[in-house]
Amino acid sequence: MTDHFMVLPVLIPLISAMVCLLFGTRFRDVKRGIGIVALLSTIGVAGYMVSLAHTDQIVTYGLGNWPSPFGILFVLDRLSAAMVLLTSMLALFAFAYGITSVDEKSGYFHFIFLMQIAGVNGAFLTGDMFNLFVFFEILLLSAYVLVIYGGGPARIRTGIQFVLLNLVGSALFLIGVGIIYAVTGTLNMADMAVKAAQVSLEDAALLRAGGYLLILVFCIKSAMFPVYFWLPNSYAAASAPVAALFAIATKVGVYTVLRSTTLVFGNDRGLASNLMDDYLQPVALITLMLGTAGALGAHKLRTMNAYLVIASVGTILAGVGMYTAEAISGSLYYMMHSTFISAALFLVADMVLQQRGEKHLDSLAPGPAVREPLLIGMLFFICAIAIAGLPPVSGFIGKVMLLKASVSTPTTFEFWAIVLTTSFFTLIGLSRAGTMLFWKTDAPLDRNYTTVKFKALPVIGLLLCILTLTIYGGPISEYFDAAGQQIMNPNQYINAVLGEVKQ
Amino acid sequence: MLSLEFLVASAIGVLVASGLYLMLRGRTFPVIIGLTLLSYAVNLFLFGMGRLVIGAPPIIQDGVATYSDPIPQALVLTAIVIGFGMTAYAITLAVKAYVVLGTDQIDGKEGA
Repeated sequence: MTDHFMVLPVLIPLISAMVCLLFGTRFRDVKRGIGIVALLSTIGVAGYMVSLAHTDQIVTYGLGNWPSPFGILFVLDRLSAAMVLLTSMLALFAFAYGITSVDEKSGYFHFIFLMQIAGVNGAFLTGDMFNLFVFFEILLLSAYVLVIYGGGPARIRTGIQFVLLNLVGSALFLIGVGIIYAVTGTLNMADMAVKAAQVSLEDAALLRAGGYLLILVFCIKSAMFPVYFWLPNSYAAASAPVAALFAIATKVGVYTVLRSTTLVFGNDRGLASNLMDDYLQPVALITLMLGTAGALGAHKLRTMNAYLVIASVGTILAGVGMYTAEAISGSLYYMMHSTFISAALFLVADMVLQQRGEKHLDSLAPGPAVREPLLIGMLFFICAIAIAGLPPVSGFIGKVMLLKASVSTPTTFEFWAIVLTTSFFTLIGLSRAGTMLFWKTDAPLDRNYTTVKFKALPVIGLLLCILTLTIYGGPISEYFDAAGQQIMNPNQYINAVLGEVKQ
Repeated sequence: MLSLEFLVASAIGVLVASGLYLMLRGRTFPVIIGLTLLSYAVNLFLFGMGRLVIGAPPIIQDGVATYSDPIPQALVLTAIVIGFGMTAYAITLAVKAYVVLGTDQIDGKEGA
């Protein structure tokens, strides 16, 4: 067993978090160093994982060396490797922004932040449904603390709603897992897929009900219509590095929807087949339209960006909803892009509000100019181009991949119409926001203000990730093409987990 | 017709109904109590998913024919612990919200 690196993306942040906790509220610089080193080494492990997954092997790691399907498993395929790498990179930049701005407010920022990373990485790697629940709870409990981090009435108000809604979600998750366990007698996802295919007629309705309940919970997490109402306020109220990190939280929902509807409830699963084929894309397209409408109607840059997060989830899941390898490849590529860029825009919004004074913050109305319009304006401009999906940036490539993939599906017309129209409206909304924030301005406030200084570095880092996605679009999209193939042929995954015997 | 399954299912139903009713209230305290009742119902439900048997051991022994399923019991233990932590945090947050916002309304606004 030389596969022990499989637990490192969970273990490194977890242990570093514990060490940070031991320091209590003192030694801030030490904790900053620990966090940076931990996240860099997680990126290193994740990079190794991606290179391993790129050779098309699926690595499984039984925790405690229990044989599958009895123990808890970590499974590494192209999809989970890419997700872990995305999480770790985003986390590094969000953390870097955090140590330039908010970690003075309390000594426990580093601890909670790293715990969140441990939970998210675990959710991406685990191959066991109940273990997924446990990692969900780890990442949620950290999110509960992070969402109110920094305090203040607005955060507490949205925080309490965020917490209560997610607690209901967790209860539904357990009921869903319980039903599926009652029917299939297993918690291992690959084994579940095998047992679901053999389910008898009398149990089929129960199994499908359990599956729909699970998918409903995953849709709450990914902020799909009609269960996205918790997102805009809580993301807009959260402090900047937290909002940037939360760009990955909705993607955990997207990942679980994708994983469950292709592996356990995908093609050729007998009476449990194709649970979401008819529903996912329409609902996702509605989500995309409502997210864009919300972004157009937003009064604050942060709220606008929160709605754009919803719109991007709609775009990604509309691609996933086609259930072809090509479309899933486009969705994954677009997911990488949108995660980085929405995080970057949250950070830019924070720079804007820190320089416009308490009265105006980031409201999209004429107000005082920012003190460093050139730098912040440039960063905003690049983010706006990338989010709207204009060429030459990666958002454009992702959308083209999705549009191309939809040609072979029956809903081509709807998909093209909605994706292109919403892109256009997103562009209008962002242009208006930019005009209000950077052109229709009064004289800047002449009091002490926070200069950007090092805060620009994480944003530039995120934009460099976008640039990398663009320049290396060829190899990266090839990786995702193969990932799409792998996801649409779950037998590969099932064989890797259970061995050839069970088939 | 008053079987063990019927009794347990009714208990779960009553718990869910009470929990839902309380969760739809406008103040934080009843909502948290409602969530707690719901999580009890979920725990009972999970426990029942391993089929209800009386007086059967969960671990393999010689000369025993019927077993109770150990997995749901382990899951329930985990769920109880997680639920306890979550409830503790929710109560702390509710108290904090009452102090900061001056009201225990869920939407943070004073009113009926």
